Amino acid sequence: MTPEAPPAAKNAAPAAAAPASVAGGEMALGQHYVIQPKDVLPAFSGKAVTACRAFDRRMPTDSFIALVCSGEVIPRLEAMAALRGFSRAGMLALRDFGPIDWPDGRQRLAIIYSALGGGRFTLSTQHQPWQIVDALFKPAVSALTEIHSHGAVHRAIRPDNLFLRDPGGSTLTLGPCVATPPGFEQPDVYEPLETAMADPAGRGSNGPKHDMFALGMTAVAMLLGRQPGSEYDRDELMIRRIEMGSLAAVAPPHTLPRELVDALQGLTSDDESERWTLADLQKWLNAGRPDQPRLPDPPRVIPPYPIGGKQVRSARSLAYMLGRNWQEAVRQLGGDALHRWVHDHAPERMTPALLDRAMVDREPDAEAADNDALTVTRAITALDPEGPIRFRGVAVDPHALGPFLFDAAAVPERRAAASAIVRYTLAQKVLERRVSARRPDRRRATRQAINYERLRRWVLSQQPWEGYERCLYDLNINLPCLSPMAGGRWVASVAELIRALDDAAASGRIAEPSIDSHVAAFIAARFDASGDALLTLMKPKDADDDATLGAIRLFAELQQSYGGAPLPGIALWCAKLARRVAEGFRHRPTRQLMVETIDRAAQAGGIAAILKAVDSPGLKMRDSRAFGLARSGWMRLQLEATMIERNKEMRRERAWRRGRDNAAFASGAGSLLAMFITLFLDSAK
Amino acid sequence: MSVRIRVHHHAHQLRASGRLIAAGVAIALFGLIGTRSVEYLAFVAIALGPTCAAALLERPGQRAATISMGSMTVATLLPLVMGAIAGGARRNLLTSLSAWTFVGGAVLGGLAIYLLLPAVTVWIDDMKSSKRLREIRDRQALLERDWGAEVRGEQAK
Repeated sequence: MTPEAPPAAKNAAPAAAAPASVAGGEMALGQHYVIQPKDVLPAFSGKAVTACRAFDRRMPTDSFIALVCSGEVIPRLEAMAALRGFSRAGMLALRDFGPIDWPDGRQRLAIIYSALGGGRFTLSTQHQPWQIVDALFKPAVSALTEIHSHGAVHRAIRPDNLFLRDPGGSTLTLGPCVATPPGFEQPDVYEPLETAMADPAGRGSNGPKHDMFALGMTAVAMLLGRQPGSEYDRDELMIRRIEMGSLAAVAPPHTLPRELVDALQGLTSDDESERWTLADLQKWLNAGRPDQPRLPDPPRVIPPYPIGGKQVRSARSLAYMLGRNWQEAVRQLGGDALHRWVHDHAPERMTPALLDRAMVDREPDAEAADNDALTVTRAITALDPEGPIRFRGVAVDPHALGPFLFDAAAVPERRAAASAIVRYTLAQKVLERRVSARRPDRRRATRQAINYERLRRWVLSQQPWEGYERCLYDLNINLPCLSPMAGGRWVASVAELIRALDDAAASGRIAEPSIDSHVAAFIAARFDASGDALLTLMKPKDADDDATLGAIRLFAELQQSYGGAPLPGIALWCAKLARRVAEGFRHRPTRQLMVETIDRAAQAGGIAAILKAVDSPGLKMRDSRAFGLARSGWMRLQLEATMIERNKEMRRERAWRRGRDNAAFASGAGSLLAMFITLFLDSAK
Repeated sequence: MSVRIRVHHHAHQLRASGRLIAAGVAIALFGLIGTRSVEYLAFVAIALGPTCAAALLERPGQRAATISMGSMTVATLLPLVMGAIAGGARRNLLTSLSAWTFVGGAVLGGLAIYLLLPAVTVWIDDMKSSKRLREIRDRQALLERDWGAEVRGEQAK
């Protein structure tokens, strides 16, 4: 379990293990739901999802919406698994989810929600406090109670993600929240300060209090009848929020209705420890008086510090602007003016000392090109320890590295920055500085440090199954395999990957046994596979016999681990690998027997049988020894034959002499015969 | 060196003793035959003519033809002459066609042994060599079948 990875959803397996198409271009999800990809609902579609109409075969009259993920961001499968099947007032009921065959030939994740009759809420008029209480707070408390009770957070509460329960009604319902990473589609103003500064994909789930902040700011939007802070540009709004407080920055408290001001101040407090919880809001709705957040100190007159075309008056807003303009920050940190301003005017007491230390600290193994950027990051962390990691213009919450790495992978500059964040363990360094993250549980802190160190080792590794991809799969435990070898299928587990590879191999689409870095990293992250085996599968021609056997063993173990069903495609791959091993044997009959056994096993799809055919301990050594004996025997015979042929004349001459010498002895026998013949014949006359 | 000279000396002594014994036996035999019949002695002398000729033609120590023909001739002469003496010396061997046929056969038999036995020995030796070569080639073919051309110490093609 890596530091940021969400807990593995116990039932996160998508509903449709084998998605199917039905007639008329419709897609089936599971046994009950049918999605109509041609019937797109633009009102429900978003940046990363396409909404389509869907229906349930059991209840054809009911209306459903299918949100089909684009695949450009990581959907929250763990939240889907947690919320599936639960329904409560104020929330859209998530019916089911799973991969479907999309018309582009690829599989996409689809999420089925119950459709509401009222459609999407539009922020066009100012609402009265009682409307906000009845239409927003009450149903939202009900919905968030349900969502938080399942260990999930919504993280997408904003006016344009609210839906009217009934046509013509006013009761609102929280919209879908699981198709994108937490906070991904949230405008900055609906995020608490520390995550508002982060890039959309790098905001992280954080906790339920982030939902409370978004709920409070949504109420402000409904009061104002427009997006809060829409009159400011992004940087201006962030500086105002940091220096004045989020609520005061968008709506001065004296302009807010008295009935709501307590709730809005409690919900939108920038200090998470003082922000209202769901119980506080419930108490307030029941006419109770929850604790109010501390009032901010009266503003002092501080000479502003100019940076990036803006004027800042606090160390935190200075840190924000340094992060937004990191190249200018390098120049400013190199001069005296910034340091003098921090020493003389920054309202935060400890900041000058921390900044001075950040300027002299050095990363021992930093590349020269990264030194300036790292100095800026250290200075920002010193000025704003509670903020996200800021490095080379990107900003990411330390607990949101997974979705961020996925998002950054497609853009080379962002990918390089993301790699550097992991390489220099900036997440760990930021967390060490945070007062709010200091926990008494030292064991957990140690484990967290070890996990970040392991990520650092992987991202630096040149091994093909490690590197950036390994971090990606380790941090995003529900991320499907992104390899083209998966054939566009939604491959969320090793078992599905094995089936996808088997299909690819069986169809001949990938004839040679090989895997790419994504498949290797996916298997390494999801299955305890040996590196040598993965390397063999990536470069089978360079592998020795032991590594090749390791690769076949890996597939055999995978086959056994996932039910032992025949895998004819992968068996063909393994057969090719096994034949290479068999060809290493010199004894032809043994080799022939092996190849026959391999071929039989490949036809049956049994990888274990292929492995057994070639993996016999000591057999290779015995084969080599026997070959040595055979070769010396052949040589000895050849020498003997050569000697026989070469010494023919000499041997014949010796035989001739021997025959001549033996003539005397032979004549002795002949003499006896001659004597008896003479005696017999002569006496017969 | 001294050992070789000693061995050579012993062989020379043995040969000389053998000749002496053979000469003694021959003189005794001829004397015995001559006391009974001069004709028989002449018959023996003429019959041993080819043997003597072979002895003259062959080098000392390599008188295989002399031994072959001589032993066969003597083995034929002995029953003829002894039979004639035992019969009262009335048979005229010098004019007996059958006696000369036996002697001629014996001389030819001795000559045949001398001439054919080396050739037969060479032929048998050739057969044995050919058989062994066949066995070697079969064994090598078996090794090559089981282990491939690499077993010859060459790269497989």
